Formats: sequence, C-alpha cells, structure tokens
Amino acid sequence: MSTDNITTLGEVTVEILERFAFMLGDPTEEKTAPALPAAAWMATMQFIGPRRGTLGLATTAAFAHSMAANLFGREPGEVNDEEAADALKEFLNVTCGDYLHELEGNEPIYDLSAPVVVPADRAALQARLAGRPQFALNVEGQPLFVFLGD
Amino acid sequence: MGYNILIVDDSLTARTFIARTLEISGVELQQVYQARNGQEALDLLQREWVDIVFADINMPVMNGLELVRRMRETELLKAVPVIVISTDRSAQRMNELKAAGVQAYLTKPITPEELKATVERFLQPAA
Repeated sequence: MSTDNITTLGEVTVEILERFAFMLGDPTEEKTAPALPAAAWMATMQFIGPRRGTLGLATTAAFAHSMAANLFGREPGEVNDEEAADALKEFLNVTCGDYLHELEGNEPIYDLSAPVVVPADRAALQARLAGRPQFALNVEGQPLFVFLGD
Repeated sequence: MGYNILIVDDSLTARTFIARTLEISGVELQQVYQARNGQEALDLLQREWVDIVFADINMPVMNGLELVRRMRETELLKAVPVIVISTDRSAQRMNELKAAGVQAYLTKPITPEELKATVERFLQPAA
C-alpha cells in the first residue's frame, strides 16, 4: 500500500469525521502521536475488489461514546456501549466507501464485509498495527488510529 | 401535515443520522418510520402508508435490492419512490438498482440539501 494511499485515507477520515460525526480530527506526527490506549475498541472491515484488504480503527470507548452522542443528539453518558459500537461501525463503513471511491472512482465493484468491533489491549493493538500503513488523529482529546491490513 | 417517510438500515446510527438530517433539511414531516431490514420494511408497509422510502443495500434478512423487487411486485407499493442511501458507489450496482425500480441513489454521508432536493424531486408538496 503506497504512501499516497495512506495520505488519501487520512484526508478522507478527517472529512468523514467532520461531515458524519461533527468532530474535528487533528493529524499527528510520529513524534507527537498519542500512546496506544491500554484498553481499546478495534473496528475492522474487509473490502474485496480490484484491491483487497482490511481497514481498521482503534480508539477508546470514550471516543466511541462521544461520536454516538453527537450522532444521536445526546450526552456521552446517555449512550450505551451497543450504541457506541454501532456508531463506530457505521463511521468505519462510510469511511471505507469514501476511501475506495477516492482511489478508484465509480467503476469497480467492491464487496464490503459488515464491520465488527472487538475490545483490544495495548499488546494486541501493537501486534495488529506493527508494520501496517497507519496514522493517528487527535480527535477532541481522544486518540484515533487508522490502519490498513491484508 | 407532512410526509410519511420510512428509513431502512440495519445500523441504528445510520437510521438516526438520516432521520436527524431530514429534520434539519426542512422537509415537512408527519411521521418518520424506521426498519432494520427489508422484511421489517415490508411488514410496516402493509400497515402504514409511506410517501417515500430511503433504504440501504447491504442488510441482513432481506437486502435493499430484494425489498425494491418485492415492492414493485405489490400493487399498492409499486409507485412508492425508493431512494437508496449506501456507501457502495459502483456504476454497475447503481444500474442494477435502477433496473429493479430504485428511483435515485445517494451516497453516505448524505447532506440535508441532498435529502431535501430528493424529496422535492419525487413528491408533490405535502398537503
């Protein structure tokens, strides 16, 4: 996966954060990247078409709750885990569709799997992200890691 | 008075986003119904009159394409406009949906302006 692709993914993610979740994401440099959360939520989905791979997000439960609260028009404390996970999945789904469109246009057909969310500790996240094209955003004080995989 | 609108998507987030975007758009709404898949939508359409349907494609139980096919086979639902809202933008998929009877295709995330323009394109002003 080229550097151009991860740059495109970064631009798409920031735009979808703003348009879909009404959240502002600040790209971080390697030196200033946030630490991997000790207890994270990891969302992944596969895309199969002219390109084949996995798009993933890793973040905190607090981020997912804030996103769901924005989308549902509630306070973060009024959102349950199921709703927060659903918001993260839909955000990933929309981001994946927009990313593939930016790369390939309207011609190719892609099969997209249903997104899944699982809990992950820091060691599991490190293993999943090691050597993968990735970037980190600071989203209103919460870390959001975005990565590509096989 | 306003429109009765049905939103069909397996994601609560997507349904809520579309419903809130409709409210913001200024479209006159009487009732906004929600269904989690095509089968739930068909069940609801047997009980309630709906002016327009916004549906996703990829859903469990019954997907959006099958929902449209079933609606087009049903006398009372034949003329109800169905607008697909999805992340899938391939031209081939859009052609397949149009052939099945989908009136228009919007990509997520939709904007209030897109939704309002779509409702106005397919419906007469609400009584």
